[in-house]
Parts: sequence; structure tokens; C-alpha cells
Amino acid sequence: MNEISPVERFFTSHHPANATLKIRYLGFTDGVLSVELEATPEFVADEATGALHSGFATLALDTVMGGAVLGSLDKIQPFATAGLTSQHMRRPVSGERLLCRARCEGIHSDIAHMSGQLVSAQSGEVLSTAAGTFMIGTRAKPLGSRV
Amino acid sequence: MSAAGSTAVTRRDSLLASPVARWLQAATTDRANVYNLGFAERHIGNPFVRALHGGVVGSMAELSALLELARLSPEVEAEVVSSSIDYLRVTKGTDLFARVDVVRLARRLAFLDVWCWQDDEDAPVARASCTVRLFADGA
Repeated sequence: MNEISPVERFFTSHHPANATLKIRYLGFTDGVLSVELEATPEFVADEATGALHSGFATLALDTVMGGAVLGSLDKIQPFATAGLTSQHMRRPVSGERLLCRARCEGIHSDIAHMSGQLVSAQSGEVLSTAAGTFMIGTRAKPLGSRV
Repeated sequence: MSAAGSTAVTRRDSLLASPVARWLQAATTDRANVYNLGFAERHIGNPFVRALHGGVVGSMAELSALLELARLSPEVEAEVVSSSIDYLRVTKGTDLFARVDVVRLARRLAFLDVWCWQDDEDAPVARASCTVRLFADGA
């Protein structure tokens, strides 16, 4: 029997924010996590056009890059987003099928450097890109409390 | 009320009534440039420490920037084209406040800083810099 990986479990178990995004895990290969999702109506900002708020892409990219961090760790440990930079080219419209990919660019010391893309599943058009910095081992006491 | 004032009410109220604002439970406060995220369980990103999802904080920061532009420049449509968010402190499962400071409001672009906090405005949990493309109404 195949054992489910931690990153797949992250996207298949109940998670409050993931439940809204309705993410479907596709795979984690060569350090790249791929998922499929739908532009959910809860994030519509313009009801006349059905265009979503840019925050949908921000939420999706943060989530999927976090999943790729999990998949890139040698052992499971807590981590948190320290910085997130997003570029939004086009806002998806409600119901649009999307693909989101995230890659671990490198882990140095206790910082994971990630990149991600949100693309249209039909055309491959890049809708948003992101770069994320994740702090690994966030249960450690902050430096300020140690001095 | 002036035509611009009337438009301001319409555009910001329309954004506040949108599905994403309802999902975030975004609302105005008694300070003109401060917006509130009303906590809901769906905003949790880490169920173990019950912290807000980083993307939820970022999403609220971007929405707050748009709400502030709708208040200040009711005649323009606006879209966030980029954002950079620093997560300064661990969050918890309570309301979040977002104060928007306009750095520059130009003809086609606006640059805004958004400071987010929960208990203490002097101990922010996140800082966001947003670049917003402005479109003349009907353009």
C-alpha cells in the first residue's frame, strides 16, 4: 500500500483556508508542487464581471508555496510565511479552472526561498507570480528574548 | 451631497458588499483609513497554533488598499498589480485591523502602505506595500 506523503495529506485533510480554495493535489515532483483549483465565487470582487479579488491569488500562492516547503523538508517541523511578494497580471473570473505550481528555490539556514505561479488551466496564461520567504522552526524563541 | 461624494459611497459600499469582503468580513471603522477583518474560523491558516492564514492577512491588506482608494478617489476603478507583505509577528484567531497610508496617488498608479495589527497598533503583525493600477471610470 502506498503511504500518503505529508504534502498530499496537507491538501487532502481538512484545513480551514484550503477548504475554501478547494485545492486538488496533482503531484510533487523534482521539488515542484502542482495543484489544481477553481476560482471560487467567495472571492469575487466585481459581481458585474465575475473577476476575483487579487487576494485570491495571494492566498492560493501562499498556501501552495507553504505546501512545497513542507514537501522540501527532511523532517516535519513548523514553519511560517515571513515575506510574500506577488505580481498580479490578470484576475481570474469565477469558475475558471486554474493550476498553481510552487518550487523550492533553496533552503539556507532556517529560511526556505520559494517561487510560485498561478496559471489558467485552459490556456496556460500566467495570471499571478509570487516569491515567498518561509521561516522554518517557528517554535524557537525570538532572538530578542534570548539576550 | 456632491456627485463625487455620492459615487464614493456607491463604489466603496459596492466593494464592501462584494463576496470577497463578506468572506473576509471586512468592514469600516470609526477611523476613516482603518478597516477591520472580523475573525471567522475559515481565516485560520495553522489550526495547531490557531494563527490567521498569511494569505488571508495579505488578502485583507490588498482589499483595504482598494477600499481606501475608493474612499479617496471615487471616480477611478482600481486593481492591485503587485504587493509585498512582511509578516512581523505571529497572529492569533481574533479580529485584524488594517490602516492604509497613501504614499503617492498618481494618475495611473497608486502606492499604498498597509499596517495590520490585532491587539496593539504599536505591535503590528504585518506590513504590506501595494501598487495599484488606476483606471478612469468607464475607460
